[in-house]
Amino acid sequence: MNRMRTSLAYSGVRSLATALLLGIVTACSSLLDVKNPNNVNAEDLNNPKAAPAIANGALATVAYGWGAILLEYSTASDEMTWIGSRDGFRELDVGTMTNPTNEFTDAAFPFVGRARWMSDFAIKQLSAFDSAGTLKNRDDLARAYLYAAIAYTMIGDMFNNFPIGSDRRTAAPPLGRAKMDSTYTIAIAYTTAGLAIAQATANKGLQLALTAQRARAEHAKAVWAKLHPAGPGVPNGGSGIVSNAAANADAATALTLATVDWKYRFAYSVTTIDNYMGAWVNSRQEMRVGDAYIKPSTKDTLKDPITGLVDPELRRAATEFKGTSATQLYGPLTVVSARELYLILAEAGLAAGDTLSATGQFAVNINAVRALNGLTAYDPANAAHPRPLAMLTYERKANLFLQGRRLHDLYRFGARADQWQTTTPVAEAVSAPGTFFPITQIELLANPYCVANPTVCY
Amino acid sequence: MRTSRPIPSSARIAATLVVAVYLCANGVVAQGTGTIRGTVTDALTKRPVDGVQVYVAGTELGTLTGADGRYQFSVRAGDIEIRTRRVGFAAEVQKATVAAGRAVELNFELRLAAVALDVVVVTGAGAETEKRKLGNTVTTIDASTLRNAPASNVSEQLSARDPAVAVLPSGGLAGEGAQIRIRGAASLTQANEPVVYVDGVRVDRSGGFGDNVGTGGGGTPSRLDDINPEAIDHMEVLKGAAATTLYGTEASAGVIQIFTKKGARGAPRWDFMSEQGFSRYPPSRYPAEAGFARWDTWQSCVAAGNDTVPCQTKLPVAGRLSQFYGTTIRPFEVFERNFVQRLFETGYTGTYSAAVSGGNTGVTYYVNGRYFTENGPFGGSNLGPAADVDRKAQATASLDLVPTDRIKVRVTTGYTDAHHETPTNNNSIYAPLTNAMFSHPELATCVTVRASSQPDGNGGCTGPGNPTGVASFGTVREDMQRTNKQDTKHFIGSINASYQALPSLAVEGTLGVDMSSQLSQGFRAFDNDVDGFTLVAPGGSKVVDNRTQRIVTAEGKTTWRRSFGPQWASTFVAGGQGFITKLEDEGSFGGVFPARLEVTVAGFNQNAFERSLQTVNAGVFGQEQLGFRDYAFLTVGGRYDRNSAFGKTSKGVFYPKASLSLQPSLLPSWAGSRFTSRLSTFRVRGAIGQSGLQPGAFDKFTTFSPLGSELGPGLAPNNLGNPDLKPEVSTEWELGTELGALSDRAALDITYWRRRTRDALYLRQYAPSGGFPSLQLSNVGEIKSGGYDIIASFLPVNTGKLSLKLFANATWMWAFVTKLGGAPPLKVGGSYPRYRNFVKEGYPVGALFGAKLPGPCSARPAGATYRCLNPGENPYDLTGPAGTPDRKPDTDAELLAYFAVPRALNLLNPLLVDENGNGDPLDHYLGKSTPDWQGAFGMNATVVRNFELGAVFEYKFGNYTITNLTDAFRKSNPMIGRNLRRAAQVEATMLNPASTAQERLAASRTWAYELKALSPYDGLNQNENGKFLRFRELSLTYNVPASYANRFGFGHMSITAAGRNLALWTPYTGIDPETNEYGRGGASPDLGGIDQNFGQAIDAFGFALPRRFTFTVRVGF
Repeated sequence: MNRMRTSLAYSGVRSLATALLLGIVTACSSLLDVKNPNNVNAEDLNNPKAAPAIANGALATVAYGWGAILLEYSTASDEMTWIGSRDGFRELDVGTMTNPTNEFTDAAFPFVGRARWMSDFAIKQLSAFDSAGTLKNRDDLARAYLYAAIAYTMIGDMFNNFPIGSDRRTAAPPLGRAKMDSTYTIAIAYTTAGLAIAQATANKGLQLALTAQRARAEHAKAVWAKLHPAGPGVPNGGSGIVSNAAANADAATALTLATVDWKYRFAYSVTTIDNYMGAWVNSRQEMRVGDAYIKPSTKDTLKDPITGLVDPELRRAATEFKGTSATQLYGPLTVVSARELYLILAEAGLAAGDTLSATGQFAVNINAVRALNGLTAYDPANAAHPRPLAMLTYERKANLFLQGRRLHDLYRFGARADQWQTTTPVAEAVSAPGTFFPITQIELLANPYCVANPTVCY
Repeated sequence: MRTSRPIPSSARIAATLVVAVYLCANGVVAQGTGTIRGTVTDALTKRPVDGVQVYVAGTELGTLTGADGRYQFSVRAGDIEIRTRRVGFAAEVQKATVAAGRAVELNFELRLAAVALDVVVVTGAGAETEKRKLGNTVTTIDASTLRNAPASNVSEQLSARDPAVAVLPSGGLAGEGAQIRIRGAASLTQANEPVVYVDGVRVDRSGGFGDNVGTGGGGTPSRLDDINPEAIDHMEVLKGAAATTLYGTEASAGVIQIFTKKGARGAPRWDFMSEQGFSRYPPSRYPAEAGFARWDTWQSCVAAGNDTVPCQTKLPVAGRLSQFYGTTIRPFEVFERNFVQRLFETGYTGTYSAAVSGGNTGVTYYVNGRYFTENGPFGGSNLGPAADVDRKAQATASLDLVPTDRIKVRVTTGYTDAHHETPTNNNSIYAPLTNAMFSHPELATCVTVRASSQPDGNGGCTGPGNPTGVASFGTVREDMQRTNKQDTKHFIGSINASYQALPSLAVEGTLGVDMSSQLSQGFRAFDNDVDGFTLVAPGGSKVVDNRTQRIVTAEGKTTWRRSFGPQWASTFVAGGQGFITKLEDEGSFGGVFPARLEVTVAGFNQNAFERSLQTVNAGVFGQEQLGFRDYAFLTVGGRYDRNSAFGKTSKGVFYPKASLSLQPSLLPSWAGSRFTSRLSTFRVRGAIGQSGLQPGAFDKFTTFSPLGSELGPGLAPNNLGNPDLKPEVSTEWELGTELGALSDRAALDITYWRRRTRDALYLRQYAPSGGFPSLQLSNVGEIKSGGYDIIASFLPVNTGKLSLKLFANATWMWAFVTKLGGAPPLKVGGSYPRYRNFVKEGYPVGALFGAKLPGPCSARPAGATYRCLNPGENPYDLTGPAGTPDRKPDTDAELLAYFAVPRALNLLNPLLVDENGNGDPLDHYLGKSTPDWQGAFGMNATVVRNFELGAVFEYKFGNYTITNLTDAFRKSNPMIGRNLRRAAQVEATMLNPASTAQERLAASRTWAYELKALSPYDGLNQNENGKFLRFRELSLTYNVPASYANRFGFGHMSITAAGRNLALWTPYTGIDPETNEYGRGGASPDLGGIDQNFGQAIDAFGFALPRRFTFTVRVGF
């Protein structure tokens, strides 16, 4: 009897327990379906309403990538000098750039890769919306083309080699050093496509930006050819001056659209993104502006070679970048400007031999820049004034400060940064002018093609 | 007109419970019962023993003895067998016949025993089970044995008790939490910290200051230390998958369960404790800062090409420095100042605790209140408000209801209100200690960029200045303006009810909640640039992080015990267990204040952060334990688990287990064998099981994160996503034996274990050119590990005047990353190159890689072609036969010519070797960051009955390599370093025109082989042997005889003097071989990730463990 009662009781409890456990597991099926409020699932980007945010994402990633690689670029040139504790910056400062394990280029590389991918993704996604007739504002697509063009120009400018075409888990092989100019070709194509849309929508601002960026890419492509004519890291020598008809035409066209002292700049703020550089330079003080621009011990700032006055644009740019304690992380960075367009045209004039006339294209465009600075006019015929090439390099140095041009100019005009190491081991910037940044360790180890073909990726 | 409202369901349940308890309690009266009571004493000292479980054999009916050793409980009338259980003592058994309404007096005298197989455990065992029945090991730490130990929190209580449980103290700031590793790393990316339960309820085990407040890595508090150590009865530790299977997903790194104290029946018993202590950092661990003057006068400084003002105000000119220090400084003569010591003081600790317990046959209670305060040995309060402070007010209560002998209800609550402060520390350039260590005495000045004052002639300034000569970032005084604070409220509550439905069948349920709310703040005041030097947030800033977490635990299980004749017994357990974890972390930032304001909204720059995470884990488990004649036990079981990380449509995971325990020494035939006199206890056991670790709740999805742009809100690639993601599974087996000899006065416990973690979750880096640079979790890894756990104890003397127990334990362990599925290696610290700990296939977890100098050609393997040095060659190519570099190592003669004139160290870049020729000079294996051996040894002694002496030593050795990043800077970095005496001396020799070429050649060798470090030489000259032996604990207690204690009105009284971290023996030259850069939660408050998992043995400007001395008085009545 007791045994039966035990059995019955056990049976009851067992049933109860089983029911309880089944209840727990069943109830958990709905409990297990938790939501993620922190991020956006990829499928949500198929909604055409996401188009502005996708284009803005391209802008933000390109702007951040630009600041990230510009920090290393400026340090490797004479624009910034290392004064801090992180030896990786010293390596760049003395002109050694191809160490793939350099922590700073290695840290910047992913942001450049993200910028390229995101801007390409924005073009693809918004083009699909456009084709389906669901894109509410076609300017968003035109913007995406602009950002992608900047990204590709940046890669062509800054890197010796780069994998283009990687997509999420699928890694593409690098372009190869000899084909890096194809990045400019893509940038030019993108600006052309974007320009067509901007013209269709009659967006003058975008037309200007796209035209100027195309001029910028075309000029950069010509510079690249100058620095890479016979293989990696072997500059052409000679004057270093370039002239590209398409660049000149676009520069002239853009200037007709531009307002006085127009600049296309990335703006940064505490509520969006910072400019990456400010934290290292203004806050942490790993770098300061180089002696070639400002010598701190004597407070000697770059002076205009004609007037002898402190260069107003350099002072303005340096002051703007340094900012205040409230803005020191968020100074704007210029991508392309009317000043650069004038200087492209001036260089073209110089290349054409137009050097001695105050009314020639060289002097006219140089003086257009000087007028923006409130400086007296340059006269190439005046022996007291610098020679045209020196004048061009000076104006580029002063007016394109922290715009990713200086290292190229040092190379192509045969100059050296004051910190470049000429003793053993001699810096690559000295021994192999034309050297820029490598595919870094993070990509080398993660890209199967590079793992299998390491020599091709270096 | 009033509207009647329905009675809430909770109220109905409560009312039903009260009625049921009342009815059941009355039921007790109606049955025929008697009373068992008596006293339990130590057979040797004759002193009462508290905390002894006295119970009816074969049942859970019983009670605990009080401080006076007394016990009493009711039993049904009849013949009964009473047993005792207490860690450290042999079990005793007595039989008695109890008559209804009568009391039986049973007194027990307990003998110390080194073997403790009769200890009952519940964690991971399904139901309460004696250890000897389990095939896996479970460590029991009896808190009463730690009563005299200088351990002020749970982490310290766990330290050095079990060799497989490594407590990594992180650093020496007040209230700094420790990381805990059980049998090393079971996972590559998920938290390798054991999950923690208190009275059956999963609790918050996180650390740090939340998502948004950082201190530099250390000084991080541990939520584990919120648990009131005075209220802990004992702890159980499960060491691996073979033991933790029933906890399923999340448990493969081990389980710690803490059991709080219960009340004992009887009149209210009061216990009070007061502890006062002080602490000091060991000064010898911080070498002085060294430097030297470069010029004699400011004129010679100017003549060398420098500007006049710097030469007169801040450059290393001997004349200026002589005036500054009030002593003679000569050029190129190294001198030292110890700036670090200015930041140290004598720390203070105070602890006060009061407890009351008691009860009757139906109800017992225990209530404890504890207040702990510590102002640690970090000082410098004259420089700024930064401080290391830790305060905790804690309250714990438990209520045990036994309305009938079939029903038990236990309600526990614990509440902690904590306040914690720590200075910015470790690898932060804004940390006062860090910058004090990097100071340059030759750069001391009272003139900064934006302020100045006058030298006081004794190495100080009359006002603003840079009197320690920091080279960048901020002065020490400015660093002292930064504060990091945290206020926490932490509640743990549980209700557990068990019902003995039948003598063989019990049902038990537990429901509990853990709620923690921590508010962390990092603050720099509006005018924090007090020396006019720093440019980092001179307008002040504040960052706030509010992290709240709620964990709800629900568990129900049924235990069915049966016998099959006289030989076989069965215990079957089935149940379900679930957790719902909800984490919310919100923060805000405000920078650049307009005035002395201390709220983020006052900042000109403002930002906000938010993270929300909900995780649900639920599973069912079952286990059958089959026993044969009480000496052989086979256990099989498993758990089926589901987790929200995989969504509601995903499949569950089943984790099986099996174990076998055989104790031949319990066989009747054993007693008459030849072995009896030699081997009083002999058990062999084996176990195998699985458990897992889950990825995060959203790791499988492809996501984009918000990234604002100047034109409006934007989206950027975030998580690449992996729809095939699943939990990683650890399979562990272990074989072991326990041996007892000399009537169990000598014991040896050896366990050999192996673990394989398959489908290990690994943060795979896909090519960042593909657009998603974030690391993506993938099940591509595998870890294999194994080792021995050895525990020995011996009672050599056990007389009335002296009882001595010696113990020693050791763990030998290895762990290798055996697969990464082609994924690239990962490094601790991301792109930061100075941390060299890697997860790399084919190497130990956390292995170190870095640069090497070329070695002698005689040591180069045959056929190898990489760079090497022949006799007479040096690791430089600074020159050659023609006086220019020749792509060959320089000979002594070449260098002697080169060093005929002074040379700057920046020119001396040694040659590196690339042994595998892959173009990466930083991938040379340089050792591992975890030791082969770790453990502890010590003794406990009772002398002339009233004195108790305890000592514990802890050690690590065997291929244990520490990254001494602190000294890598102090040896090499030209800006914030080269201030160790030998580094300064080498540089002075190089620059001194009076040095000979031979002296410079010798200095260049020292530079290459001992000093040169950091990028691009990362890993070179920064690793050291980290083996150590530490005198961890010493305590001496005088138990005041009862006759004296009674004169003061106390039932018992004891006085203890104790010390912690009293001595350190180590060849390690850095600050402390036990400091860890990331602390507990310094890299991740959730304790996961590569950095948190493998950032051990990185000494990056941390605080040495302080010596702490305490004096404790305990009284009770």
